[in-house]
Amino acid sequence: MKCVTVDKPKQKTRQKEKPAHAKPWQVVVHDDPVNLMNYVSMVFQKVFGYSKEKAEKLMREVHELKRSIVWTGAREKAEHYVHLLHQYQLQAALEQDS
Amino acid sequence: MNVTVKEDEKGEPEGLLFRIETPGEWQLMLSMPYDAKGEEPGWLTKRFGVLMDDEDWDDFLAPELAQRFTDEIEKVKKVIEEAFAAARPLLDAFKSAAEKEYEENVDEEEEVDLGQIYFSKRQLLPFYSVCNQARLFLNGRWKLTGREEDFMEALSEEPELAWAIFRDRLFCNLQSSILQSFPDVL
Repeated sequence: MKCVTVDKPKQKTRQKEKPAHAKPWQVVVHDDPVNLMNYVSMVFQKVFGYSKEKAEKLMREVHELKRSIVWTGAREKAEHYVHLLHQYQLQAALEQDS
Repeated sequence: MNVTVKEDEKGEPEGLLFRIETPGEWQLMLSMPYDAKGEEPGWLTKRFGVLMDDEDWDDFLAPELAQRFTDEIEKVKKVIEEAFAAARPLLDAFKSAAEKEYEENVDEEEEVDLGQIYFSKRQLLPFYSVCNQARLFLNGRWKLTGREEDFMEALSEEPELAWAIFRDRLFCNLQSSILQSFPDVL
């Protein structure tokens, strides 16, 4: 992925109200040229409590497909996970399931 | 640089010891916090912000994240600079000996002890993080992906690029040492 440091346009898009039929949110991790593969796997185990096998599978997805959906669920929890992944310097983002 | 695991009295690993063998290694280690700081404050948080479309993130989480990264850099910088200060007499002695060898035209190859940097187990995660911040900056600044092979060419034509590649490789090796020696570092 490209390494860029740019200001993003300000957008207020967050919806506080959650309709009953709201689609789940996805935590997506993008590939980057720096993070070591075993480190990424260790972070997945630590943050999500995944088994080593599952964490490694997701890590390989990130590496080979350049992104992986590593968790799906409620927005609030997804935001928490993204925040934790950023603390570990993984390129994590929040997306709504399409 | 020689990396060894330091053990406590019970034989449990308690930290990593980085023995410095050349003045250039000190230069590399001292440069790490400055690479991690990048060219503008909060650069790494901004990079993550590009992925987030959320005002709460900008208002609450980004400042916290930026502070966390800054704190890590300051902690690691302090450890390295204190270790460097302690090693100054060794460096001065090395310099005098090297000048004498040059004057007398002798070339003695021997193991050199130019001091050491010690990170306890508790300090290893911030250290890993600062290595990572430095590498993220270097890779963004110099677009290093796939350019490792350019090192020799860059040495003569683009010394700054060569230096950046070299730092990136060293910091990556340090990270590997940490993960290998302390798989529970997280």
